[in-house]
Amino acid sequence: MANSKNKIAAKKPSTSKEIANLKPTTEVVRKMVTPPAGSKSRPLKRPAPVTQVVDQPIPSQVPIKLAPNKDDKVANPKDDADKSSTPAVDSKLESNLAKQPPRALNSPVRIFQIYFEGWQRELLDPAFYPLDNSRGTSELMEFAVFEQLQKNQATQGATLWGALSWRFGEKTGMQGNDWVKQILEHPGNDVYFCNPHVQNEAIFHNMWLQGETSHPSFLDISKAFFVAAGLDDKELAAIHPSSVYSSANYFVATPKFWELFIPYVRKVLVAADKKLNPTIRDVLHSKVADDKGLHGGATYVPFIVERLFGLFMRTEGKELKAYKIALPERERELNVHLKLLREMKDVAHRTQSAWLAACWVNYRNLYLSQTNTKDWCEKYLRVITPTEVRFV
Amino acid sequence: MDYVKVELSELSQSDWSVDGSIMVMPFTDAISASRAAELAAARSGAKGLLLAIHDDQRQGFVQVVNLAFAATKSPWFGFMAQDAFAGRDWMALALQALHKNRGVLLGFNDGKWQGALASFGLASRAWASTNYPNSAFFHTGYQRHYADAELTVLALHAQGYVYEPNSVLVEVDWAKDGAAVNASDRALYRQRAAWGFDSRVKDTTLANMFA
Repeated sequence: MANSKNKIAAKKPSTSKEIANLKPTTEVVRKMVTPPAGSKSRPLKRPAPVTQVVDQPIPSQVPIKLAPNKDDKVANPKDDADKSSTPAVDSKLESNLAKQPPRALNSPVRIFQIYFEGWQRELLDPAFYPLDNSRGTSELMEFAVFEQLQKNQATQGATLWGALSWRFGEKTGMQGNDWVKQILEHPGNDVYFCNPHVQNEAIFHNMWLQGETSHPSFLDISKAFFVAAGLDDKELAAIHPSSVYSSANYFVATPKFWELFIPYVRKVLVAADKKLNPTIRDVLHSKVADDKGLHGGATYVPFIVERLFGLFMRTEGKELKAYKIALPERERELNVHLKLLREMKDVAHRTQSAWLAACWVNYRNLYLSQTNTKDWCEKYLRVITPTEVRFV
Repeated sequence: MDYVKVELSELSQSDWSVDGSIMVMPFTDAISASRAAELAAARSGAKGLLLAIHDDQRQGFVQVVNLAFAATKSPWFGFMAQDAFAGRDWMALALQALHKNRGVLLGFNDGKWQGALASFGLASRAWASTNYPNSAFFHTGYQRHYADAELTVLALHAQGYVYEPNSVLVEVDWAKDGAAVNASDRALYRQRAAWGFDSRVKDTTLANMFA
């Protein structure tokens, strides 16, 4: 590995003291790439921070920018008049357009699709509204977009809204129209969600334990986070049914859901930040979480936030109704073992059978040892196998 | 795409973290490399980093790419040579094709193999890091040839090989067509193919594709 930071990230600490010794990487990684002396190259640029939220009506054909580019030229009507012979706009029409959002954004279901680079626009779904987040810098990632959209005029008056990623089609195997159709065919729910990583439903007790295999010391960090935020950390080792698995923050929901969910997440984050040991807090907000750079150098925060949905729906959101949209393309990718494992775990959960849950763990461990390397098994199998059987 | 030139001996002194693609160009001819890299960076059509690495320790193409893979962080990691000529938006088109097809390895249009082989390629780091021990991108036994062929076979086996003819990185080497391949590399490839590349590729037609 390139530097001492990476070596630290690669070693899995087993105690909170060792977590505290993890060196946060923020200040190093923020530099991104520094060309060596004498190089003719340009350093990588970081985008400017978000400074303003758009609160004007948005034309449907133009991608929505959450944060305006300060370098964008402001159209000067006088210049335009000089350059073209377009007749002046009727003042009544102009006034109406300024007061009302365009027709497309009057739809009761408004689904936005976040993208960051021009080439990604080619991959966007025509059923969704393009949402330019190229200048977004928040460590909260999608959640920061949700917060901004909630305040934005673009979501006002919608009965359901959400913001999906530019990789929606790739991850779900679905077209936007089919997604909307699923929503319309199952009316009356407060939130529609899905889980693009269906195999996790079969092989992990829950998404917190899954996170341990993707982000260094994820369980220890999450446990410290839960304790500091006043949440019940039994959640982290319990068996969750496949019906509540969710990833990628693919939510389309009512304003009521967003009014509860956004403050809930905020409250939890603030409480954790306030009470966490400063050293662990620094690690929480560091890029140690993304040790291979697969997630744009994300910190632990967005990985924790995306897993809070299930807990929220069982606690402060328990009155809300949820509908999980099935993903046939992803379901087709499950092999016979994964299908059986998922069913076995769900039956164990439904019947609260500790015996069947133990059988599932045995079968699951056998499956994982056949499909992963010896190193992987030695590193993770014990950690992702809680000794006590507990159901949520 | 940004472009950085670095000595191999200095590679580990910086933190190469990029939210996008890292394209590695090992080189020995600084003039050719600068010309190729500047054009490729300007024409990429996507954010990322073109890392031109001067092989000042004469480690060879395969080893330089492996060292670069271990020293960098990015979702996508690719390789090209100092004699590559980039077409417009080559990286943007490659990324689009990989995402559309849920691919793990893309072979650029190199003007030579018509997509059969990723002589210049772009791979998912998540996939590539599972192929060989010790974070190697290419199998470490190869010196100059066949490492790309083996990687292509592994991607085909994973049903994740993608070719996008409009994504152009042509190999411009006026003398190479007549050059012989490295005999020991060919022997190693044949041996590994016979064993299904560590028993991973059971389909013998696929395993022997380039043998």
